[in-house]
Amino acid sequence: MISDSEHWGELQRLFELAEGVPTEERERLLTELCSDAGLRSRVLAILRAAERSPSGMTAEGVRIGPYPILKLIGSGGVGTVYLAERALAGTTQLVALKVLAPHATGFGFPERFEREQQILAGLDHPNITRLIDAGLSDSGQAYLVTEYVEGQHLDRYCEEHRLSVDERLALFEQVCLAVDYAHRNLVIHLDLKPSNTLVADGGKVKLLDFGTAKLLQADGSLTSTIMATPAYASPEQLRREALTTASDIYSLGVILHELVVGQRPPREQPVTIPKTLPSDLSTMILKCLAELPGERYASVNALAGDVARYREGRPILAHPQTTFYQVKKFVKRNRGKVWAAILLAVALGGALGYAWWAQSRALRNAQRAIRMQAFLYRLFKNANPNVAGKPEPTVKEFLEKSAEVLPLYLKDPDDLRQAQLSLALSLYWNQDFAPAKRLYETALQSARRAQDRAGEAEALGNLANIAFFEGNNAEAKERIDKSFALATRPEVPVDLRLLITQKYVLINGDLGGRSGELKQALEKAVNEARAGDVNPADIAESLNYLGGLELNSSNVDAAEKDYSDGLSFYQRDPLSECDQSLTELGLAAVRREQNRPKEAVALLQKSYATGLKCWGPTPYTQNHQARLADALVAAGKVDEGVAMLEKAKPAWSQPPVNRSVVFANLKYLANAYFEAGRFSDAEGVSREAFELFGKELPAGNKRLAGVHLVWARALGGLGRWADALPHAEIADRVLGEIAVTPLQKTNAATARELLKTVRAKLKS
Amino acid sequence: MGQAGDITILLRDWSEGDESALDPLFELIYPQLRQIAASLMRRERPGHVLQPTGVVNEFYLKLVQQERLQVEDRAHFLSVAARFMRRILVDQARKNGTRKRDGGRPVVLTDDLSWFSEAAGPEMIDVDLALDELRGIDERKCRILELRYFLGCTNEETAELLGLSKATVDRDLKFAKGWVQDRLSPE
Repeated sequence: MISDSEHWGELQRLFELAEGVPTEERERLLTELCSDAGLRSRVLAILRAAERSPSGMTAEGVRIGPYPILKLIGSGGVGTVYLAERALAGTTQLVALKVLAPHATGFGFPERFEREQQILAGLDHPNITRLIDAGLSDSGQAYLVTEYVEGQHLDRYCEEHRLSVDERLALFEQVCLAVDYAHRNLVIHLDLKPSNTLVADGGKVKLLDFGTAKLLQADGSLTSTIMATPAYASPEQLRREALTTASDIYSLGVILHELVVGQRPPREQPVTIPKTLPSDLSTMILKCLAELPGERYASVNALAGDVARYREGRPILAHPQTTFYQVKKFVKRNRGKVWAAILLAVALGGALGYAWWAQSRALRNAQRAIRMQAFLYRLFKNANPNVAGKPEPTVKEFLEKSAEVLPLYLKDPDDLRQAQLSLALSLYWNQDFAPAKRLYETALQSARRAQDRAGEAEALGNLANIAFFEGNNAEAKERIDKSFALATRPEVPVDLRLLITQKYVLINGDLGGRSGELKQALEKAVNEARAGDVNPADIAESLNYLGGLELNSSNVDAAEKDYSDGLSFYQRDPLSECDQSLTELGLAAVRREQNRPKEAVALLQKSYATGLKCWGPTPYTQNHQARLADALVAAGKVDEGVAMLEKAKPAWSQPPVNRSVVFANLKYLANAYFEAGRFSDAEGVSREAFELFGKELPAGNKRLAGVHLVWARALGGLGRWADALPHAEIADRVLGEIAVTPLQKTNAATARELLKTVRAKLKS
Repeated sequence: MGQAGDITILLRDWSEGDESALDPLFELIYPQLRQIAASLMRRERPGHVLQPTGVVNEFYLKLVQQERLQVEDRAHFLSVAARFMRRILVDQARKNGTRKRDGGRPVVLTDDLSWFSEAAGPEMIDVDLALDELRGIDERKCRILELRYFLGCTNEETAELLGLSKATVDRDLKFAKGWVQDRLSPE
């Protein structure tokens, strides 16, 4: 056998030449042209093969089973349909005969066919073409015989008769009722499309091709090996997944869209509907076309019900199904950005507590909060017809409304929980604590159900914040302890763990927890965060905390290191200006403790200017300025310091008033007056400060001791030694106990000296 | 085939990742493939019926599922369509068993694709093998044959698709058909 490929070109050329001459001459010609006998015989063989005629086939008298075939009507997805005749007691009836392709029926066909026969024969509905007969032809082809309906395809019919939307919907309702009937008889059509829905004369709808439908299995689902027309097939059909009645609903959605819009909807999800369509119609269509079967109408009956309602001008039952992918994409959980560095306040003045920094952080994040709120607002406004078109709600109203409607838009429990946590945050930043708390509680339950430890820890942490803010210390401690315990689990992300540790340290620290242990916990979290992929700003925040803790324990050098570290992290984040100013503030406090007031002044000048820019004039900014003034005084610029404080003082008593802040500021002012030699003013301000807090704090309180010192010094300056004595004694006793840092040592020494002086003066 | 422009654009869009182009693309191609089916059925021989529209749907779905067929242009696309038809027919033929029909008379390829109904079993597999062999020798002829005898494209259409002259297609087709048929039952 010669290899054709080697002589391919020649073969073809010889073929063509020989083909042109009559058969009897070919051999001679080839012999002339080609000396290779093998090649010649190949050419001849090919020529003969080329000229074979197909076997004759005729089409007379074709029958399938007992039914004479008249003509071809059309080909469907799973078979060909013929017009046939049926002999009926003397007359003949026209029937539609559908031959099912072998590949369309799969394995186990004969048994299923019989079962189908029975079920389909049982479908007796005016809008469904009735099954008359079924059988197997001689050649083994299965066929179904149904009543023959002359009519037009639904879409053609609507076009040609120029039907109004209402008239089209009327027809569509008929289709739905027929499909619903079938579903109730456990039959899913699986190939619904306009060409399967005929409209006969008189406007009566007839559903075809139920012969290709499948029976529901006992578990309510089935997989089909037959493929429907792709344009009308549901996503799960295309993916060959389990099918339910929802697949028919999808197809009905496509048909409905086609009827009212004029063309089929595009395939992509989420489905977009032309805006010109009335929103109820859109809603209905969308509810049929949802990607997930579970999100569509639960039954065709429900769909038919809404169609009827719409036609009657009544509201439909379906909720708007606008998808919320935008939320998923953009709503970020600002885990690390909510609370932090509150302990800094504790370190910086002792008088200022958790609440102060809570506020300032809230303000710091105000910009972010506002942006988020604005974004959510836009989204909800567009998505929620109840809000759109009404007068602008307040942010508070909007946020609260959002909390209400959120479950309507987000069906997935994890998405919903995420969004709830973020929304609760916004409420919190907006100081709307009650709804925030409610939302956090909801999110907490949801997280527990879903075993979402991270979500649970976050919700608990924020609830602890709120409780603390409201003054429920016991509840705050309980929640934050729980949150902290959860946060130690490995499935909780590092950044969240860091944040929760901060809160834990904060709350427990403020409630008198053991600072050694707390410090260790936070150090551990910070080190882990350094190694992990945590935002540098978050790490710096924690370092702020640690610095504050160290400062609180008078570990000045350790505090210095933490703050400097923090600054270097902030340098990596260009947007951290505001946060950075807090670290500078902390570092300034360190310098002050180190008796390096000049450096403190530099840091405070910078950070105060930034603070003012970031947060505007608030009690905390006032305190910031007061510290600057105090540092100026300590650095020798007494007059400047005094002037600054005097100028600022009137604002301290304007709301919002923070007593702790005012207390601290007054202390600075008293000191400044003393250094300036204005003893009587110093005495007056000391008294003012004492009256703010003195009754509440125990006598041995550290903060109070500072007041006693300046008071004693002022009284001494005024020569009122007897009055000065009690204050000097308290100051000496208390300040002498905690003389660790250079500044504390200085103060303790000052107190000691003063007491000696006072006693001496009183003896004489 | 007056919608060449649309198809090309859709093909390009689709190959660039725009899935929504597939449906209109299919709709444009589908009528041609349906015509093939209809022409098949005009023979009205319900005996050994293979359902081309079923085939076409399967093809479409395979396209969707395979997703990243290397499709650069319409010509390629149709060739791919033809090859799909071929594969599906072969798959079906395998399912139909090993019994040869009609005393073993060889299959003759016909323009109107009625030969499908004659090649419901092992005959189709023989055709498939022969085409594979042909492709190994002369890919262009194989494509011409496939377009003709699996999709029913006319010679003009094939020429346009492949960028050949009609005369070339005419000549190639005749030869290739003869060669394949000879392969199917050598004398």
